Amino acid sequence: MKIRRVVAETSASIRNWYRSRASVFWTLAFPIMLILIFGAIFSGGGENYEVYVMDHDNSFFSHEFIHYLNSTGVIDVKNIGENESLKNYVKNAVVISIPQGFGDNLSEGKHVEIEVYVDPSNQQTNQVVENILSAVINNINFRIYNITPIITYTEKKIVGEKYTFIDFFVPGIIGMTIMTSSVYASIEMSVKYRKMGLLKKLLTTPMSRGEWLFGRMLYQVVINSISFVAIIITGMAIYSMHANINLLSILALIISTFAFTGTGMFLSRFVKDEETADSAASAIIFPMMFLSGTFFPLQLMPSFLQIIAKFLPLYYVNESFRNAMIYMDYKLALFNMAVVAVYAAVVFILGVMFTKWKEE
Amino acid sequence: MIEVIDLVKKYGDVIAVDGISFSVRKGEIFSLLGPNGAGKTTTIKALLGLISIDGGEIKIKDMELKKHEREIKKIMGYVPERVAFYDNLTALQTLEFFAELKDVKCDCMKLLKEVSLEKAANRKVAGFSKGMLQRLAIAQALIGEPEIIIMDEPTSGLDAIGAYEIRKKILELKERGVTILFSSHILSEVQEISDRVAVINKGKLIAVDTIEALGKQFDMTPKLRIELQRPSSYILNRVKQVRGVRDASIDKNILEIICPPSIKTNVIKVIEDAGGKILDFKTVEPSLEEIFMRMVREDE
Repeated sequence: MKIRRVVAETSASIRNWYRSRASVFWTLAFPIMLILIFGAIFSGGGENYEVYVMDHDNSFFSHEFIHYLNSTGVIDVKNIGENESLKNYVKNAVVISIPQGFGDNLSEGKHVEIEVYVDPSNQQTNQVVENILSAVINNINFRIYNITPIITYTEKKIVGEKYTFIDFFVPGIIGMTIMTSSVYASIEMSVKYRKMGLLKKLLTTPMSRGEWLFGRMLYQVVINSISFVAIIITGMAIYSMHANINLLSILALIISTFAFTGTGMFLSRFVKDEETADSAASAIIFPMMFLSGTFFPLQLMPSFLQIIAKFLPLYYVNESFRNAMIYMDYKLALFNMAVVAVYAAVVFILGVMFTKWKEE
Repeated sequence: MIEVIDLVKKYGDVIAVDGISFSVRKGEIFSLLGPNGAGKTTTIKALLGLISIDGGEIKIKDMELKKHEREIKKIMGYVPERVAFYDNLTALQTLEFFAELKDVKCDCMKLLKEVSLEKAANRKVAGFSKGMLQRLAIAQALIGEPEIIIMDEPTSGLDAIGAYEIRKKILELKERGVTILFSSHILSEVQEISDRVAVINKGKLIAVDTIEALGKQFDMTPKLRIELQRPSSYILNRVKQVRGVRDASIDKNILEIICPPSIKTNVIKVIEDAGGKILDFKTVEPSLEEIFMRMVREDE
């Protein structure tokens, strides 16, 4: 392998890229869009949960109860009139009905029961509101009977206090961007260049398949580095995100780019035209995106899907970035990178073997 | 310079090239001729190492292509029919890129001047016309001063001026001693520039020689074209009766006779005896098209 030829291919590809305004725009716009969208979803500045309360009692105790709910900071209580139909409010929200005699029964120490109406299709909201409601009711019970809880807890973070919710998702977003950009670009470019005859032209030069593949991989490292920087800068500027960019995270970027560019090159062998190239890339990208713990912890998935995730390279890429940038567990980061590196080597060899360099 | 020995290439059950052998001498323009699907493009692809072959041998400068592909690619240039480069590179950057791949120093501006593209040196290739792309492909093929250039239908899709410029360039390259293997379906073009031609049909080689020798080999008799003041059917019948005349016809005032050159004097005498007044007289050698058609017809 002659480095001069590899560098020539990389530099020609970079020149070809930066002289195309559309390519430059999308290279920057795609990761920025991703971090803006996912940042907005995961930045933790979410809306409070709306809860409608129908107060049939309208007593001091019912007002106190509503005050407690409001003071949690998570629930926004809105009162509705006694004569209104609950059906109008229960869709997409939780409705609490405080029965008549709530205050009198409480003051006499009698059992009282409030009714909670939920929309079953809104499970996540129901769960959060019910947990808060339960905590508020417990607290009121403790106060009525003057009980001081014996067991309490304090939340401690295993990483620095500065890290916020979004910081934990950034490695996944970086991994996903690298995968998407590398797989799409390598499949599309290979198919396009083969179709337009550029690969044939390159084959008539002394450049080898390996040199071309390696050159393309280095080019993709440059493009992904630009995306990486765009994500970090946008995330820092808009969401006050924290990122610990160290040597390991850069190494993870290079290895994962090699892995996914190789994947694309290998797949392009089986794709004949540009239209199929898109579908082939999507077929690889989307399942991997959702099954590799990019957007939510693997523990939330059924156990058989968790097993499948362990066979996907994006899982190890995400873990590499997470351990290198957030948990600072360099040993684990290196282990995950090693897995990605082995995968990258395999797809590189397969890419060299299977790239449709010579015609059949 | 180029030796093709018993070349065989199969695509599944179809034999695209079936035991073709020919050799190209140093400094000559050698053309491959054949109808569509004859196997000439497959032969060129094999020579360029673009396809793996199923039999035979290709030697370039006594080096076996299979074993010395890289060295051979360094001394070869290629001008394809459909030219493709990185769209957003300029003409100059394109040549510099290919020079790096060939690992040679290149005065790329000089090469662009050679193909009259110096003014477009810093323009993106994406905006080039077909003719400009073809000229850029020639400049690219010239990187590293190759000893052999293979051209696959280089004038295809070009206008008359564009095609003329390319032919002029090919003849210039020959003057410099470059060996050129050329393929074209425009027979007049092949006739104009080729030293020798190889005719391929159905994957087999029918003939290899100079156009003149091929004419003789296929007994292609030259034609006599005689312009008469007043042609008549009487003159035509008299001419047809001359021993050795194969055919004769009249078109307006031109009498066209197919006969060996040795009976030329006899024919003229018969025409004059029959009262014909000759205004002009020409011997027309058989065209490559005629030779080619004859060869392909006979082969079928």
